[in-house]
Amino acid sequence: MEKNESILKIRNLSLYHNKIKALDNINLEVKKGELLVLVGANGAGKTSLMETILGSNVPQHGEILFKENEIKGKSVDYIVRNGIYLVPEDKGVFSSMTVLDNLLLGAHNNRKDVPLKLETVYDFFPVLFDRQKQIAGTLSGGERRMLAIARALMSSPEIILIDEPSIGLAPIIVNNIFEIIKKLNNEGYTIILSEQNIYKALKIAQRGCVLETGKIVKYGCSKELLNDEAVKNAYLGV
Amino acid sequence: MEVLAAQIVNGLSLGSVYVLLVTAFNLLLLVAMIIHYSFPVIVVFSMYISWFVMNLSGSIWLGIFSAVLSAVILNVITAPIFQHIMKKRGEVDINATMVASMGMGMIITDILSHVFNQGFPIAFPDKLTGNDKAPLIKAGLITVSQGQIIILLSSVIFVIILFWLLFKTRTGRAFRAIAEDPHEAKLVGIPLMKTGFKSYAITGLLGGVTSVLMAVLLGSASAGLGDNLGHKVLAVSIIAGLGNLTGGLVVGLLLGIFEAIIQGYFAGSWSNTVSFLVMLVIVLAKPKGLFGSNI
Ligand SMILES: Nc1ncnc2c1ncn2[C@@H]1O[C@H](COP(=O)(O)OP(=O)(O)O)[C@@H](O)[C@H]1O
Ligand SMILES: [Mg+2]
Repeated sequence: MEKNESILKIRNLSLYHNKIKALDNINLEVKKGELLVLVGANGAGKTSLMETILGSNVPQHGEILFKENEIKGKSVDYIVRNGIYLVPEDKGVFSSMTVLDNLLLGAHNNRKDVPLKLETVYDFFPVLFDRQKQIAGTLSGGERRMLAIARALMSSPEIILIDEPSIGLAPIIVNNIFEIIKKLNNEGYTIILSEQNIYKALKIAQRGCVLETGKIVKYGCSKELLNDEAVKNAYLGV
Repeated sequence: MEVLAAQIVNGLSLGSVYVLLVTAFNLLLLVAMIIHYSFPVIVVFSMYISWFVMNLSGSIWLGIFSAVLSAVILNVITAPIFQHIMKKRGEVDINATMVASMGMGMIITDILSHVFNQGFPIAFPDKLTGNDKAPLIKAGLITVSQGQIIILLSSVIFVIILFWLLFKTRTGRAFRAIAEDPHEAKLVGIPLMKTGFKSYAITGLLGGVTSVLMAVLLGSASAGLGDNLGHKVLAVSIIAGLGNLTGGLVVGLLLGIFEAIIQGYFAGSWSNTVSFLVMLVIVLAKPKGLFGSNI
């Protein structure tokens, strides 16, 4: 596949949680190798969209094409096996288990070359190598977020969905995490990143889209969005 | 002093059977996310099957094999009932699964009291229990038999295997992930239903082994035994802390020793009452269990 070719196409996607409409007719195309930011306030539908792509939510309408194949209605383990992985918001790791166990869980469905993948991950995150045997619950917030991202790499994903990685972290650690995400993108991973605090996110992303109450209200390249008056007022606090 | 030592050994072998039952119960709670109150009834059912096969074939080994087989099969064929409840509700439904388990237990208990031995308690052959052999230790009325030592050793081995499986294998890792957080486990790509199903097979195997050990230990069984054990297993699990595997291990052993000591020094038939009074006190003092609940 060439660059600029789309790897994920979402068409007319709607999702209800019971009676509440969480996603409202979403149309979105993600290009191979790009870093796309989903911007939106609390409750805008970022997590719902990511979990729907992953197959954890089953949408009532629309289609999701991953490399031209319909994945709507497929199980999460099928979708993970085929190359989409979610780094969940909030907790992100299994805190009662060791760092190594957490990493191996990432490879639960993609068991090829586990030693090799571990090596790559430890090269990328030397901190985790030193702490393999440590219980994940005793890691610092930043280390935990790194572990959650590292776990994603263990599954050999093509698309990594990263849900609000900056939540609850000190600004300096956030910068760190964003550098890591940028670096992963440079290595060729397609990344969809959700963020509330969009300034840093748009700085490292190529494109972004703004979600409001389940609808995409703006969609464009990062520069455009950073200069957009409405976006500035709503999200950049200027 | 000798009485005490002998009763402690007695208690350990009784306790190790409780440990196996509680561990299976906790595993089902953590991984399959059900309260399988009647799991011990399935175990007692398997005791009946092995008794039946032993009588029919005259072979102890065939009896043992059929006990294990029947527990695995019964646990696996009833799994879809529980999984259907979970799937339909879209999430864990401990209450509904508990009712399903109780119903299952009542049906099995009825079958045991109507179909086998005209409802009378069954007695296992001496060849299995070793009751025809001289006991290893004899202190007045108290004895420790070879069978009890075998039970103790087998239980230790099975608990070790189980913990190895949980902490050293890929399936065990998935079990622990589900136990900690089912939603997150689903997101990393662990198939909840399929992995849950494995836990039914494994606990079925464990139940089968336990049924054989119980046949050796008790030498007999009655239709009401499963219910009686069901109470105890649930109580031990709650007192240790629901879903706390290590806690279940400790409290299961303690209950066995406690009961044996009461039986050694007082009238045996009051051991249930005394145990439950003690448990009541503990549960009032520590509602989350001695070791903390894991769910
Ligand atoms: N499991 C659920 N049940 C009911 N409503 C939900 C559930 N998950 C999310 N919602 C609702 O869907 C909307 C979108 O939520 P979410 O996707 O979590 O937003 P975000 O991640 O952008 O904060 C919110 O109104 C939220 O209350
Ligand atoms: Mg969210």
